[in-house]
Parts: sequence; C-alpha cells; structure tokens
Amino acid sequence: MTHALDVVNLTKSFGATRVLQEVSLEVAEGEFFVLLGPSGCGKTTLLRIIAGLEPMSRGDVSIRGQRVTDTPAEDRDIAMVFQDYALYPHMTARQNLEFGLKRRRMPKAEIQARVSRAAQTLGIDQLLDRKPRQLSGGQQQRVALGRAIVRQPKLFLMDEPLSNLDAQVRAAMRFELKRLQRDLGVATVYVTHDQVEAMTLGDRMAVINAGRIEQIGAPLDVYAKPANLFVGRFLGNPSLNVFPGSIERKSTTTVVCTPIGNFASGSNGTLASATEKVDVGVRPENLRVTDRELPGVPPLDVLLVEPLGAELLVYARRETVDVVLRVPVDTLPLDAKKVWIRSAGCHLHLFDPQTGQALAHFTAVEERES
Amino acid sequence: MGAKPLILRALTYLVLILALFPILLPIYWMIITAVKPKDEVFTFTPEWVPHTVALSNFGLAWNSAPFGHYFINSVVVTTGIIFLQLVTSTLAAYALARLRFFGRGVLFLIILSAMILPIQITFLANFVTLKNFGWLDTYQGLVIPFAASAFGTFLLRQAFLAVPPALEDAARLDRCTGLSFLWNFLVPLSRPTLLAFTLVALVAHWNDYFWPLIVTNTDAVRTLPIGLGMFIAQEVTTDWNLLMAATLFVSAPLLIAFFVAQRYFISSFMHSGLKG
Ligand SMILES: Nc1ncnc2c1ncn2[C@@H]1O[C@H](COP(=O)(O)OP(=O)(O)OP(=O)(O)O)[C@@H](O)[C@H]1O
Ligand SMILES: [Mg+2]
Repeated sequence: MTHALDVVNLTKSFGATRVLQEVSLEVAEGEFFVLLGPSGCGKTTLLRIIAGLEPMSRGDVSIRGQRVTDTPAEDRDIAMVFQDYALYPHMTARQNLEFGLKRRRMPKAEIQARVSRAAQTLGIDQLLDRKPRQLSGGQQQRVALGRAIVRQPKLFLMDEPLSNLDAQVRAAMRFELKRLQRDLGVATVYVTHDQVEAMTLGDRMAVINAGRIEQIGAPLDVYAKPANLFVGRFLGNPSLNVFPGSIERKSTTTVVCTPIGNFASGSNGTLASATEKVDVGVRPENLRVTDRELPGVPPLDVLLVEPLGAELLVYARRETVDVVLRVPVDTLPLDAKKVWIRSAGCHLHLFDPQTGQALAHFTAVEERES
Repeated sequence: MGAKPLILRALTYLVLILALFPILLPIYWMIITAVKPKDEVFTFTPEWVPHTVALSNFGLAWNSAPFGHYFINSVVVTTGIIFLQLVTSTLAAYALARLRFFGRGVLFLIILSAMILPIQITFLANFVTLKNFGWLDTYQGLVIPFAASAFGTFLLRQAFLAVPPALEDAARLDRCTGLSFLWNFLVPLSRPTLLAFTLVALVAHWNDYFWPLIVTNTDAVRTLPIGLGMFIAQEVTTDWNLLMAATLFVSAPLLIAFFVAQRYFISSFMHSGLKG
C-alpha cells in the first residue's frame, strides 16, 4: 500500500547550521500524524519542506508514492494551515475559500458547492462576506481551515493552527479538528509543541529534538515506552522524575536501588540489558505512596501538597533528590509530613546514563528474600 | 484615541485654520480675480467679493490661445507618463522586493542614487538622445524620458516588502505565483501607496515646465503650463482677470483630483489595515 506521505533521510541546513538531520517518516492514508517538539527544533522547517516552500539539502519526499522532491509547491496538491492563518486580508472569507479553486479553473457550480459545504461544516456560513480583520481569532482559524478543506487535497499540513487561540476555544477547536479530519479522511501532518494536542489529536506522532526524530509511535505507546530520556521528559506534565540508580542482581530477581527506595523486577530477564549504573525515570502518577511508615524504606519529606480535585500533586524530597507524585485524593491527608514509596506496582523506566537511550520499562513487584 | 479636552481641540483647529489661511488666500484671490470684469481688477481698496461675476472671462481666455489643444496634450502626456511609471515601477519593485537575483542590492543602490539626481543633470544627455531619435516636438519626447521612476520603484518596493511572506506561501499553494501574485496580492494590498504615488506623479508632470519647454517647439504638442507661460509672455500681459481664468483651468484638474482622491485615500488607508 502506498503511503500518503514518505519522507526519506531528509537533511536541511541553513548555511552552516544543520536544522534537520536524516529525518524519515511515513504517513498512512487518512492518518493524523503529529510532529511534536520544543521550540526551534525544526518542525516548521520540516513542514515547509514537505509543502515545497523550502528547498531541502538532501533527501526525498513522496506523496502517494510519487516523488515530489523536484515538484514546485503549487503542483503538489497540498493544503496548508499556517500558524498565523495567512488569510488574504483584501478578500472576504468567501473569496479566501474560492481563490485556490478559481486558480485551478474549477467550474463555478462546483466551487459554490464546495464552499457552502465547507462553510456549513465549520459553521462560518454567516461570516462569508466579512473580511478577515472583521473576524475573531477563532473565526479566522475556521476560515483558514475552510480554505484548506475546500481544496480536497492529497495532504493537509497544519503548523500550530491552534496556538493563537485562548485556552477554551483551543480545546473546542481541538475536538472539532479531530472530528473533521476523521470525516474527511485526508492524511494530515500537524505540527505542535503542545503535548496535550499531540496526545489527543495524533493517531501517531513523531517527537523531534534538535532536528532529529527521537521516536515515532502511537501517543500512548510513546508515553508508556519513551525511547530515551528526552522523550520521557518531554511528554507528561508534571514531568518525569529522574534520579540515579544502580542495579543489583540477585538469584531470582534484579533490584534497582534508588535514593527513594528499591524496586524489584520479579525476574532477571526483564533487566538483562541494564548496565550497572542507570538513570531511573518514574512518571508522577506511576509512584505509589503511603503516609504510614514502611520498614526498610527511606522516608520522603513532604514539601507541598496541591489538591487538583480528584488527585493530589505531592512535592517531596529525600536529601537532595526532588520527587513529584500524582496520587488519588484519598491517598494522603493534606497535611502529611512524611511519605514512603510502596515499590510494588510502581512503573519505572531505565535509561543509559551516557546515551540517554531507554534500557527497560518495567513494573516493580514485591521483593521476596530468598 | 481618547477624547481630548475641549480646549486642546479648539486650539488644534485654531492653529490649523491659521495655517490654512496663507494657502487658501492666493487660491481665493485667483478665483475672484478670474471672474472680475477688467475694470474691477485694480481698485484702490481690495475687493474681496466681486460686484459682478464675469463668467465670460473663461471663454475669452480659453479662446485667446489654443488652450483646448494644450489641455488635450497635457492629459495625454500626463496619463501616458503615469501609466508607464506605474507599470515599470510596479514590476521593478516586485523584482527588488520579492525575487532573489545576483546584484539585487547593488541595483537597488543605483536606483536610490538615481532618485537623488535632479533632472538638470540628465537633461542634456536626454535631449541629445531624443534629438538623434527625431523625437523632439513629439509625444514620445515628452513621455518616454519619464517612463520609469526611481522614486516610485523605491516607494512600491517598501510597500511590497511590508506584505508578509506567509501570504506569498499561502498564495503559492493556491497556485498563484509570480506576476499573478503581484497582480492579485501586492498591487491590491499596496493601494494606498499606489494612490499616493499617482498623485505625486500627477502633480509633478501636470505642472512640469522645464522639460516640455525644452523639447517642444510647436503648439501641436505643447502642454498647459507651457501654453500658459506663452500666454503670459506674449498675449495679454495686462488682462489679469483673463490670466487668472487661464491659470484656474490649468490648476483646476489637480484640485479636483485631490478633492476626489482625498476621501478614497483615507478610506483605502483604513481598509488596507496594513499600516498604522
Ligand atoms: N530562513 C532561515 N535561515 C536560517 N535559519 C533558520 C531559517 N528558518 C529557520 N531557521 C532556524 O532553524 C531552526 C528551526 O526552525 P523552525 O522554525 O523549523 O523551528 P520550529 O520547530 O518550528 O520552532 P517553533 O516551535 O518556535 O515554531 C531554528 O533554529 C531557526 O533559527
Ligand atoms: Mg514553527
């Protein structure tokens, strides 16, 4: 089966600065693919290269199996939603939607039909005769989406289209965008630095850092099994707890010793690949905790408890190590002074301290002396 | 803009009115002199309101020299120049603002320096060239030397640069590139600048005296300012009322153009939404 989009070994430099390195990815037909990464990592550049608006230094781009590396942007049959919308300020919303179809010499009746269908879908039929500056940010955003939809292109490219909206409108648009994309079934590459958008919108996502793809996968898989420390830290809020640990191999189990306690793997196989010294990562919601003393477990001093409603955010410290925990609201009293980690059931990620690559992901079990 | 205190606003208007006075007074004097009968032109005490309105002055003035012909010449030459300047400046500004080519910076610098040179430096060379072309005393001779404008090119380049690049990207995905982009985006988005430049060029070339004086010898191609100059020099030196009537129909088209354009000017500024 041909993909909607293939990017192969794409490299891009601006002068001496390398902005993208050996980027490869594929997007299936109808897939919602998210590019996630911190500011300046090259997301926009990648999107513009896919669109043909920016030349690449090396590599190949194919759309529906056809190599378009040397095809100019206007012939790639791609529609893009820009971060600042780039609506045509001297045209009404209707003219904005019609323009690309007129330039493609589409029959008038067909243009009318497409525009009114898109306008209805997006709820902008009442606004079609307004100029962009007479529209609110959310309405402009819809017009920008409309301009992309009417084209019925092979591929949608969206560059942080929700980032200019306030939080409430953004959440609503996120939902609509997802629904719209599903209905249209057009493959979409969506750029964002917002992990919530990436997690909620993407069928799959690529996490980019400094011009390299760190990991590609379904959002929940990437979240549960980060390929390296960067991905682990970048996803999740509050962020992954990381502390140094060491591996102790016993007869039937392998134990990860950390400043906040020891975690047993249950079988030796799980951590076979782990090095002597590791970086241990734990998500705040993956730590289990109690305010009753556990024998042989070091206590953590509670610095602050933040009630979030159904959950508590607990900021705790052991000597120089800070830990953030997210636990159900009935786990602790708000005025708890000390807490102990229950190791069994905690989900841990082990990373190579030199390379940051993930070594293992495992759930700790009760340690039995043998 | 918050409401200014009344006093401040009153003061503003007062200053503006005072400033208008020296501008409007000569125009007013021109108009009333133009309609005065001959014997009312020179009176011991200035007559601010004419007793009798002699509209016949206009007919007399118009017929005492081939003003109709001059008028047509002026219209042909001025519109020709403005049309050509708009076309060439727009195209050159597009290249300078939006295309990448070798030597663009140097070229722009050369155009800038052309802006600084006054016509008195180039007229001799131009004159000789036209003479060799056999273009003296022709419309081409009046129009072609002004077919390009460094000032217009500069002005439009700045306006085109202000159009965000993202718009060009969006237009490109809508299959609108190159000259289509210029025509569908840069030109409409730069309307205030285009209009301002047109007005400036209109004034400069409608009133131009120096160049037409040099390259015209016959009434067939003489423009209004030259005609008026000759009218003053030769024909009716003492008939100030006729002179003023003639001056009025030389300057009236410009006054009307400004009057009409002013409203459009303001509204196009507001609509473009590009600049403050
Ligand atoms: N035209 C250019 N010339 C030189 N460097 C550029 C150019 N465009 C982008 N860069 C550099 O390339 C890097 C990636 O830029 P890009 O705009 O792709 O980042 P981004 O991931 O989209 O960031 P953001 O989330 O802030 O939009 C940045 O370091 C930027 O400075
Ligand atoms: Mg960007």
